[in-house]
Amino acid sequence: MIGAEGQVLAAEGAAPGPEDLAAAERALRRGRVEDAIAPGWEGARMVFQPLGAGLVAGHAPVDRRRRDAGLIEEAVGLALAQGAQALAGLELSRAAAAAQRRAEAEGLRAALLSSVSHDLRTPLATIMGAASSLRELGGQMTPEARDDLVAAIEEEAGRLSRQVENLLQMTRLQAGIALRKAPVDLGEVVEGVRARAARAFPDARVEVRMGPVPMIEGEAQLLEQALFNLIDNAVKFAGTGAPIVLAVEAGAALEISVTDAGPGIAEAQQEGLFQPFFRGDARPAGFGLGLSIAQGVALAHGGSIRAESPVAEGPDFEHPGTRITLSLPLGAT
Amino acid sequence: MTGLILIVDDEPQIQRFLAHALHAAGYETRAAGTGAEALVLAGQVRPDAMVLDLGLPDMDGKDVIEALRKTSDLPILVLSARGEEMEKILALDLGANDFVVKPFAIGEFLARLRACLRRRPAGTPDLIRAEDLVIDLATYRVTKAGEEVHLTPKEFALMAELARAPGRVVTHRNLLKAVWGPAHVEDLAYLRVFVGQLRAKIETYPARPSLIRTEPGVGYRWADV
Repeated sequence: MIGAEGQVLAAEGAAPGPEDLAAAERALRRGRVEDAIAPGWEGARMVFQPLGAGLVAGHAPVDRRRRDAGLIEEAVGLALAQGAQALAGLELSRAAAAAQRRAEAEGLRAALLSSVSHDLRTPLATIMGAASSLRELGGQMTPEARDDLVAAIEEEAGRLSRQVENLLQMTRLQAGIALRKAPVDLGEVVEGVRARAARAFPDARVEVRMGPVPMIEGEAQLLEQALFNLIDNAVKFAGTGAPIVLAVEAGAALEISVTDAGPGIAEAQQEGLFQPFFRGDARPAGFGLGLSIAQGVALAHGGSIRAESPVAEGPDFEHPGTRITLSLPLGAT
Repeated sequence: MTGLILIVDDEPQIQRFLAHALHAAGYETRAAGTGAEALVLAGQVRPDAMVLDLGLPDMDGKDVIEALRKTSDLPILVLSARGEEMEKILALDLGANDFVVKPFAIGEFLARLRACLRRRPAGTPDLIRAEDLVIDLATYRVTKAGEEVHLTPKEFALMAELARAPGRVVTHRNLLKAVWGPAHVEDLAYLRVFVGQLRAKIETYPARPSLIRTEPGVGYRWADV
């Protein structure tokens, strides 16, 4: 079997000589059978037949003197035809798979655009509307109303800022940029997360449960972002009624978990949870990237992420709750 | 201007600043977060106008408009997002009165709301004045700075359709339907030519129209008085 560039893909018996290769090329070009030269003459000693998909099959000519020459030729013809069919089938499924991947990439890109524009637009609309209201109508408002509008601007600017940060992280993770590795003090990371959460969600209570924990190699900023996203997720989902628990445990691996006492996540939805732009039925907007970034960070550190809902918990929680755990290898490189 | 405005938007932050702004402008407000809630409240509290976001979680905003329009001509101001051009036009064609694109400054929003609320008083004034133009709907006469302007019947009909709703956008489709009939709703190029001719006759500076404003991709808007 000879490929389009003249490379021999498979050969049994005598290897094809230069005249055979020339005949093969002719068969490919003309798209038809090239017969072998009669014995005693110079030229190709094999019969070549194009198979489609840029391939040509060659075989020794059937000895015409045999009584069953006709049958043998038929059998050879059949075998080659089947081979051609199989190749065509393979080609089709490869094209289909490629088309599928392209469609998925397009779908992802469309989802990205739609998610980004929605999630950025609402905070912007509030900021623009509130600011222009203050300027044009501030005089007709009570001090409380004015104050509320200013607070709204501040909150939405914060939300916008987090969205943008998530987007940047997502881009970085998808581009597969290598981690800037350094020894990470998880205590510092957790403290950073707690402070950020306190500023972003002043009504939320975040409880930290952490004992002494070894240092690991990684990127502190990414880990902080991932954990913050988990808390953001918990606040969105479970509200600020019950405390959110951020726990760090070192066992066989380093397990960092964020647990909420919210309504939990149905089993059916748990599978797609970490896909980008996954939105369950009635989830608030802006859920697009946070969890999938957390997964990206876990993977980039050689670890994994998992979700548990309902949480098998003790007396703390009445509601099913959700726990998302980042598992990082100790002594990670 | 005053009245009760029903705000329909699922984002609490949007409800928040709109409520403050509308109160400061002298309106009262109620709010709904879903299409279903909006329809119920509209029946219960009888608002004077509805501000409707197209991106609702439970229902298409357009379905709310359709449902509402079966029984009511409640003025509806639609909030749309940039890039949702088709949605916006469909909403207008279904009966929404006007639109504002997010993010928006409150001034524009209030002006369009005012235009929606403006009702022709009983005993429609037959005279419409705009800049130095006087349109007499009863006698089909138009004067500009005192001088008579000669319009063909179709040109007059086109102008009247726009001038009857000052400050409100009229979609291409609705204009074509009103002046030429439902069979001609796709004749966009035709409409454009006509508007050009009309502008040449009634605008002081036809190249910089102030009476008939273009709303790109959507329709036209007569100047707000």
